Amino acid sequence: MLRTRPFFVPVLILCAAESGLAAAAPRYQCWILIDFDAVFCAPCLEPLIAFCRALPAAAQDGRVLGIVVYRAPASPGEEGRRRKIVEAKWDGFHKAHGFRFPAVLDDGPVFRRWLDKGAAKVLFFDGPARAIREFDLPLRPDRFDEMLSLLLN
Amino acid sequence: MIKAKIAGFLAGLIVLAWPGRGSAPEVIRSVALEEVLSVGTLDDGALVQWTGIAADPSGRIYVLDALDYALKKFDSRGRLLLKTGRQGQGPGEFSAPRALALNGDRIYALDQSRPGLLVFDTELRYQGTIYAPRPLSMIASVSPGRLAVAGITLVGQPARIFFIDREGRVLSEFNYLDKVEFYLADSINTAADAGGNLYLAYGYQDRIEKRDGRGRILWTWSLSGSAAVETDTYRAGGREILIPKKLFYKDAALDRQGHLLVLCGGQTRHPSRDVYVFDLSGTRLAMFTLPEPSHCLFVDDNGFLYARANEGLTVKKYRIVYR
Repeated sequence: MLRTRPFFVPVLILCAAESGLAAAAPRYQCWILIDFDAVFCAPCLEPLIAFCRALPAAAQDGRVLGIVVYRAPASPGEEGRRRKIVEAKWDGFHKAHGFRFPAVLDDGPVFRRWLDKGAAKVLFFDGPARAIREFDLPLRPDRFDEMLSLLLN
Repeated sequence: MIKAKIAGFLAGLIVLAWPGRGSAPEVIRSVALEEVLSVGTLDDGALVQWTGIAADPSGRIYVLDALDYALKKFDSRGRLLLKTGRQGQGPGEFSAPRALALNGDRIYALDQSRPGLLVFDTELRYQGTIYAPRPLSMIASVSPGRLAVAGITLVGQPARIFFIDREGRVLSEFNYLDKVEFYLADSINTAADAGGNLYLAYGYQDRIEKRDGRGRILWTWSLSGSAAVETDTYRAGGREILIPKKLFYKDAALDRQGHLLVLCGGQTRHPSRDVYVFDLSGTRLAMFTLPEPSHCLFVDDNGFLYARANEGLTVKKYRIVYR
């Protein structure tokens, strides 16, 4: 089950992308997928911070969305507490860095599948090409420039 | 004559009752933790992910917060008094804050992304940096004006512990490993007693040991009785890197009753919660379990134990009750 808040996340577009079909541009062009349970070690954290800091404020406002993927606890009674912990920690980290983009929390399987090779990655909806591009972090400078030009144009 | 006999009898009783070398190990039937303070909640924003901790004799608590890139000071009731630091590499800034030690009126903060130690006073004013040739992985306060530190060591190199004074001058040093055989083999958690002895709990080896101030091993202990280490092999840049599979011990602390407490990692029934209690001659006396997983264990001068809760959003302070 996919659960996110406070924004509606268009799962159908992701499914379409996985099956090789064209996707319409969603409200947020750039999705930063973050594996909450794996990202908070220095080697994983540094590329994520570097990427987020490099995003100009103009690009972050309204175009970038963080999707914080976490594992729900096995015991059902602990679900709410775990979600609060994830929310509080992400919120504190977000504030400490002055990131502007909003984020949603997700404990479902859809986005987790995209994080099988790293603790964070970027999905970019390339409207003109009618495709979703996938970027692993750390990004090479030329790929960052490419993504930024798509985001700002 | 009768007085002499009574005196001799009393002296014998004292000798029998006095815990010392050769005496029977203390018996602990159970260990209970009574929570006396909780700092940081799920929604007050006081802590984000705390890592290092220290407390002064008045109960004021100093905490390094890794995800808030800050050093924080709380009063004895858990109210935030002061906060300093931000993310960065400049003076008084943090990138990967991990551990701290309080020694006299100074706080020494260890940041794994930069060599050396950041020094603050107890009002959290930045005093300067003690430079070291490489980032440090361990710090422990030994006695007034004396700290023990260890650096992150490359594979193939000897791993060393340095005793330094409050200005960072090296007083003495010794090898605790003649050669680091695999990545993280040098990972240790350390407590120091009043006699200058160190208790080392290895992170990725099944090994706990006591060494004197010169580095001589006084005793060793292991859970499995085996020194073998299981590793995975990774290839990077044309080289093979050996990574240990198992985390054994996460932290070590001494209480006021003369017990060594060792927080176990993933090899016991309750990962990151089980704590072994040893006497100082290396006999395991008891085990207790923390209410929640913790990465660290700290005991202050008044004997209170501090551990993590809510995945680092909360510091819990407990009274330890031995029965």
